[in-house]
Amino acid sequence: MAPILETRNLSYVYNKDHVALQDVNIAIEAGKVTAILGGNGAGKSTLFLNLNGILTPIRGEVLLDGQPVKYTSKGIRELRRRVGIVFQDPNDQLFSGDVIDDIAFGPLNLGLPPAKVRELVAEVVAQTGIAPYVNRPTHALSFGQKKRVAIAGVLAMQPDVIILDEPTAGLDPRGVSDILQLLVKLQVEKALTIVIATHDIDLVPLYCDYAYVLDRGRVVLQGTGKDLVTQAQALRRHALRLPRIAHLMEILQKEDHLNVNTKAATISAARKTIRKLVINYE
Amino acid sequence: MLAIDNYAYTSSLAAKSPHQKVLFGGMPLMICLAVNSLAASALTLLVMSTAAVAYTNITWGRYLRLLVLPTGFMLAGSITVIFQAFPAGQPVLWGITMADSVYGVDAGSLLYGIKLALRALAAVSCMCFISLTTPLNDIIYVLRKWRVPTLVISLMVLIYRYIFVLLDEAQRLQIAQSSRLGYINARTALKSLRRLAASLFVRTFLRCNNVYAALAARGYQGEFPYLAKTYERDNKLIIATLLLCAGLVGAVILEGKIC
Repeated sequence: MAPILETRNLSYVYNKDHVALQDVNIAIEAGKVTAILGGNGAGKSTLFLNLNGILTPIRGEVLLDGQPVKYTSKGIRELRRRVGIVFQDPNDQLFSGDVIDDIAFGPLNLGLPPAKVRELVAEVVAQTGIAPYVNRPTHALSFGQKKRVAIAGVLAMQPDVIILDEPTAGLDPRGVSDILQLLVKLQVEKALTIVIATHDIDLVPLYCDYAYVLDRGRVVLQGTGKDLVTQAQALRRHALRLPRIAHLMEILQKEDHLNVNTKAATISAARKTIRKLVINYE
Repeated sequence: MLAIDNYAYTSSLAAKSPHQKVLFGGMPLMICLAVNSLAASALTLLVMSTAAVAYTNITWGRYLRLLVLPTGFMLAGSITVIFQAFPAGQPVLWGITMADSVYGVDAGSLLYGIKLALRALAAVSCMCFISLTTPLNDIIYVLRKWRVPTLVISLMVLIYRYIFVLLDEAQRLQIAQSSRLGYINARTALKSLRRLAASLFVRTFLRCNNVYAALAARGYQGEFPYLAKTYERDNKLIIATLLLCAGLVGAVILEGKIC
């Protein structure tokens, strides 16, 4: 299947000498969840701003549905409609003190008629479960609530791809699982393509179909969510680590010489391999 | 400021049409400013204050404290009007003769000063009524409907949103400084405050870039478009506005006949 969003040799340089991205080639499959991993300053945010047309690549290109993006005002508008970004800090994104005004901002900018916008707003309010607090002023919302409103504001533009920069950062464990469940629901119900930037590697085997690792502006590692997270050496070289469960499996094998599956990176996979071990032992 | 915002959202008039509330506060405001009548000012002050206290969960004590600051300015302004220099020999209520002038108060200047102070206070009470019963989002909506220039509206929208973010950041920085004894004495306090201001400025600048990127990502074209809203209409509020205006006009006429 052709990727919905793709970059070819994408390079970006800040202030003429700070290379933020160098020859980045990524392909985002439609309807899938793709993770972009990388430590701080790896270039994740720069990549996203290029994917949405806020930044224009110095070299290389961004392709939407296999067609190179045209950097005309019409081309950029199309790109921004189809590829939405949820920024890391909802305070950066929510510009209005009025929640409904904020959600309506994107679709109104697209020139949709008010009746249609109203319909879209009602729809995303229901989908993201923010109805109990839409009438409160933005500054009275909690961090997690603001995050949901920010997601609603992007969803209201009916994008095909939604990019989330650190969607779980700053949330409590309950908030993290709520947001992730919401994303899975959206992926299934709306056939959305989801891109997540994160350094929470534990999420990857659970939620992500494919993952890229960025380091100093380059793609240094890629693979399916389940495979990538078991490459201990490579991950450690790029300021990342194994998921906790995979790390445990590694230790069980190396230190305790137990015959466990070191590819087990989730609780359910670990349970399976440990059960097998115990049953064989008995 | 934060307290006023809270009162506005919890006012029993919060859901009512902001147009009507702005008119209820605004019409008497115009009349008071136009006619400069003692009776009209006094009546406005009385009605607005009573209405504000009745329809929000503010207590009289807190309401009066809200008026203290503007009253202070008003007194400072009025005193310079009340005390005047008169030619020697002119009858005054109270004064000190120095060289060939009398510095003091006469009936005219006293009346003028009181009128001025009361008029200003009445105007403030009108504004207080509006801000205590109307959430700022609604005030912005009214101003949009009244075709206030986009630039002003955009500024209001962004300021209202980011003033809370700024206050929050300032507070967190200040706590972080205090926890390292940044405000232990006047000297360090001054130094810490200076650093706080500097770092807030830098953060604001960085946030500005982020906010702009986020706006652009959603197709910002220099304007904040909005959806029309519907509010509860309340004919009682219109009638109250008309009655109050009629009362004010009546008070002005009556005052003219007596004086």
